[in-house]
Amino acid sequence: MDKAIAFDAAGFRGGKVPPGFRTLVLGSEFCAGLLPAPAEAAAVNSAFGGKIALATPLLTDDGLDKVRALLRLYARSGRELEVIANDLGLLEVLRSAAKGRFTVSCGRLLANRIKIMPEAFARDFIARYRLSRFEVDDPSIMKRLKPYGLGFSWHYPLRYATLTRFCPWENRWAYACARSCAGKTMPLRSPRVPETLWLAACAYFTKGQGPRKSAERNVFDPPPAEVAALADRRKA
Amino acid sequence: MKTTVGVRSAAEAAYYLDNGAHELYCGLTGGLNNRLPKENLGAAADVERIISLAEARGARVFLAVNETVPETLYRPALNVLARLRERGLFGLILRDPAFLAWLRARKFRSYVTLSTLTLCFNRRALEFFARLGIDRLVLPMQMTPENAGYALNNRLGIETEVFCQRLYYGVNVDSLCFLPCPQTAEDCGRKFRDFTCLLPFRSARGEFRMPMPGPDYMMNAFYDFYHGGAGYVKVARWPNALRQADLFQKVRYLVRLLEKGASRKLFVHAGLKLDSKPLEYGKSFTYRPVRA
Repeated sequence: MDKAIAFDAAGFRGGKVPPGFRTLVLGSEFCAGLLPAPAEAAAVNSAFGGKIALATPLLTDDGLDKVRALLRLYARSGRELEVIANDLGLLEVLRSAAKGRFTVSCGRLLANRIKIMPEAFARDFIARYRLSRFEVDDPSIMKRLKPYGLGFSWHYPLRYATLTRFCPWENRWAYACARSCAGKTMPLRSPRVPETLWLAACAYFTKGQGPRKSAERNVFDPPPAEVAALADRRKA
Repeated sequence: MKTTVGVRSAAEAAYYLDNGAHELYCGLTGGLNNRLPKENLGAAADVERIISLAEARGARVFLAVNETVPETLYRPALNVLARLRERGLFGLILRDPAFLAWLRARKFRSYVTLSTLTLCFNRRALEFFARLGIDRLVLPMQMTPENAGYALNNRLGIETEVFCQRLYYGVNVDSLCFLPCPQTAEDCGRKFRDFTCLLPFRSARGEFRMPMPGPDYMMNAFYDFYHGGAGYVKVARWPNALRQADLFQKVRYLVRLLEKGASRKLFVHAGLKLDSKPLEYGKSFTYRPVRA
């Protein structure tokens, strides 16, 4: 079983991946502002020798261009890259331009859409875009996607709940991002909501479950101190 | 810019048609659409009555099937759609690419509007849906005019529809939102009391509310969508008829200002004077809070 850790571009901080993690998930499934710039991606390439998975969110045309630039960089470097895709337009790009040069994993947002597709259509979809695994953080989604026979990449300790494109950290549209959320998670509590919400990037999460033995890969995501403490308490 | 209005009865249809609506749309209870049962019509015959009213005034009617359609319902759904099309239904509002592909494979011809819930954010995604034969795209509610060029300037012959965000806005991406709310969750056997997205939260920074763009931004966005070539503005269904009529009149007022050539400054100024609570649209009147 592979162990991965997720960092947005700014949170990577000089390539210090804790021991035991063989894969680095770079970027974000929930905000295009947290995608690495080509220079940042190149620096990560130099600093980290393990596998790299590029996490990508829903993308506007500008975001799509940004990811295209990163794909070109990786193609030139010859380095193996996995792309975690959540956007249909990106899947089209990867299918037509990348011609199988990159491994494609189905991101958590996209998995929520595939789970409600009729099975035959979903099988065609998975084959058309050469999806190799599902990123998940919810056991019920795993159950629904199990018939497709792909592996699961399990994200812990938080579970996705919702997403915005209007940045909750900076109160402006996310494409003008100053990355003030980088490496941060903020708990949100209300007596009228049964559990704590966690804000990370442009998404809100609830408490999820710990690592799963049945997963092909476990991704510790995101790792700030408060969330790490939560994970430690669960372990204890 | 034409106005597309959601209706729940023939009476509402007549009101909106008499007051300048160009198109109407409606849903059928149990007919796989993304609204509460009380926002839908009870039977296909009700849709036919609305079609007759609209035809008499030269307006179009759409049926919203904007939920994922289970495969077992494809054939029954097709039968209903085919019958309504014979009676004059102009088009469908669809979200589910699998169902759309299935309809197209069976040579079902109809104008198709791709629902905002599909989250088509870029040119390549639009090309995917163009291959399925869509005729119009409703832009995602959280789409900004700066990023909407792929749709507004498309060369695929696809028309575009927008929301007037100043009057109607969702703080989160609704088809990917799994927060508990009265439409989706229960608490002790009753509908969940609150729309979680509208609550105040305690946070390390003090009170936190899920944010939305300011009203001036939203007015500017509507101005830009209009001048960018968006062809339609949507006034969605609402459980409270008077509030929906009020919203419709406000949208019509704003569109008339634009049609008269209002400058950006004047338009934004006039729009900011409107009484508007975009986050309450469709929410405040959908449920009654549980009293302790």
